[in-house]
Amino acid sequence: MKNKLSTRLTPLQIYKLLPKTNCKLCGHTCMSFAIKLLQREVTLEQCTPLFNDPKYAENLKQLQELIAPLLSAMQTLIQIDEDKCIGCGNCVIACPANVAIEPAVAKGINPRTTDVVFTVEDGKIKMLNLDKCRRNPPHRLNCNICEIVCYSEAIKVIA
Amino acid sequence: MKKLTDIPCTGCSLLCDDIVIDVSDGSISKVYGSCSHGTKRFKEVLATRLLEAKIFENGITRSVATEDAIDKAVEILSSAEKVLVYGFENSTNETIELGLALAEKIGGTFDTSPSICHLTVPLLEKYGVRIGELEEILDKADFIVFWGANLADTHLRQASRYSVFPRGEIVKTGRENRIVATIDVRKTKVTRIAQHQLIVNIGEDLDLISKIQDAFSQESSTEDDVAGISQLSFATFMHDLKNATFVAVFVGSGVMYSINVDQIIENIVKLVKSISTKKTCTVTPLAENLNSMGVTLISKKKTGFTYAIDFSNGSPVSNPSVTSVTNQLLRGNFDAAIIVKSDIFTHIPRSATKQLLKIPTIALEEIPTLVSEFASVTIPVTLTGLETGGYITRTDGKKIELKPFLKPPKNMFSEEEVLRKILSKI
Repeated sequence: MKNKLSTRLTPLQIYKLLPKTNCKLCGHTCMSFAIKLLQREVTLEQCTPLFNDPKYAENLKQLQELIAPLLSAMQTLIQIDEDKCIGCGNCVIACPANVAIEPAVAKGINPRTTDVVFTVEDGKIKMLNLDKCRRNPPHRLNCNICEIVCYSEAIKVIA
Repeated sequence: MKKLTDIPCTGCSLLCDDIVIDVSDGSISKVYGSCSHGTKRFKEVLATRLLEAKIFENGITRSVATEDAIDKAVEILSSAEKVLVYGFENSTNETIELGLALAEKIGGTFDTSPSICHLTVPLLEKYGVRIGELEEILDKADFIVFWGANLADTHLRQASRYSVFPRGEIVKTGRENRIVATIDVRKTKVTRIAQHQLIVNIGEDLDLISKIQDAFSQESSTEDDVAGISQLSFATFMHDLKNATFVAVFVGSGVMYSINVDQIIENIVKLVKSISTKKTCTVTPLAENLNSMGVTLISKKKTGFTYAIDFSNGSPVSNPSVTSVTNQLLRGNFDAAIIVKSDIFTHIPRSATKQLLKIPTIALEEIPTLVSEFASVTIPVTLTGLETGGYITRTDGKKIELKPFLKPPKNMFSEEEVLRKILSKI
């Protein structure tokens, strides 16, 4: 578990690589920009000094590497590796949102309707309604039950 | 397109009965709810199946009609002195009964692939320990132990469908109310979902069992590490075990790889017995193959033994060190073999395989395997659970009725029909 948490992106990791001048050219302080970047409310390009000043070139390179998984993640900041998925269904049954939508899921039965967040189809996880996930903005809960119950580390919470 | 619901899956011995399947024009287009093993069973088996009966004679393989292949099989079996009747761990209960009847009729030896059930079931009866039913465990178990079981490789939906995650009648919040412990010699994928991850030194299972027994009965705590497990981990494990009300122990095939496997299983069963004096405690073997439990229970009921049953003296005898398939093959006892849906080459050592290749073999198979490749007579059979029905015994001993939903190809029989024909002609 400790290892898992440490792989997550934190605002401080981003902040460290920003100019830290609080110039507010982007409209935020640097710390605020880091938080908003993590929530994908702003883009890295909005921080103009980072691109214009050659002394930040190394930082920019590191930042781009750091946030690469963030940009490829879903809106709930989760990445799913379908190749790793073995279709055990742990995530589908453990998901509180799934159970709230379809109570039969509580008994371990795979969802029958397409109203749930996700289901198992052809032996792989399949996203149906991402907006019903508890991690979905704006009411983002820091839920990661699907990640911690996954046997094969196919589900990864990015931040 | 037709949507079929509640189809039992024949991917493993859990027989999950909540599978939804889309069928169109005799083929399966989508499978909902099954794990990757089940999906493979449903979708790939149709594409790779055997379609033609074959006879290998004088160095030439020729395709024949199924009836001719059956006649040839009868000829081989009738002329043989002693026959090996092997397999059945992927067959229906009805077929297993026919297999036993065949072995008895021709005075052969009935054996099946090695399974944890063979060793566990007789001990459960001996010590009066209850086998844990999966539904009961779902509703009540608040302490679950996986002993030598890596569910992420063998029984993928065990935790999500029957034990850890579902919310039961008494264990209302599911995982939050349950404590999961894994006992294994290494870290496996299933340890990710366990609160207690006990990693035992190889060969020290017996030591661990006796320490658990002592700590449970004497209320004492150990000062030292136990079988490679730190004192703190062991103490917290024991604390949770003592506070639990319903303990469910699952024994997996990992235990089979120990040298003193008989002793370990016997001691686990004894431990369960002593825990059950203070609280409910059950043990459930996790059958490796689809119907390993069925083979075990049916042969136990019919003959009193669970595997390596020899009928050559009329009455059934089982002494695995003498009558097991490997020992008899090495001594060159058999002069013919009939293998029913079992890849025997992966179960026996190379030296025994060489002996097996010398004798005529009859293979009843759904899909091409090494056995069907090398057999003298290969008879394709219809797909159990997809094209033919019957009953299969789940890993906890409950009988599940299959619901076939596809039409079998013409001129192809089920394994049950083939065996019935062979039995009537011998």
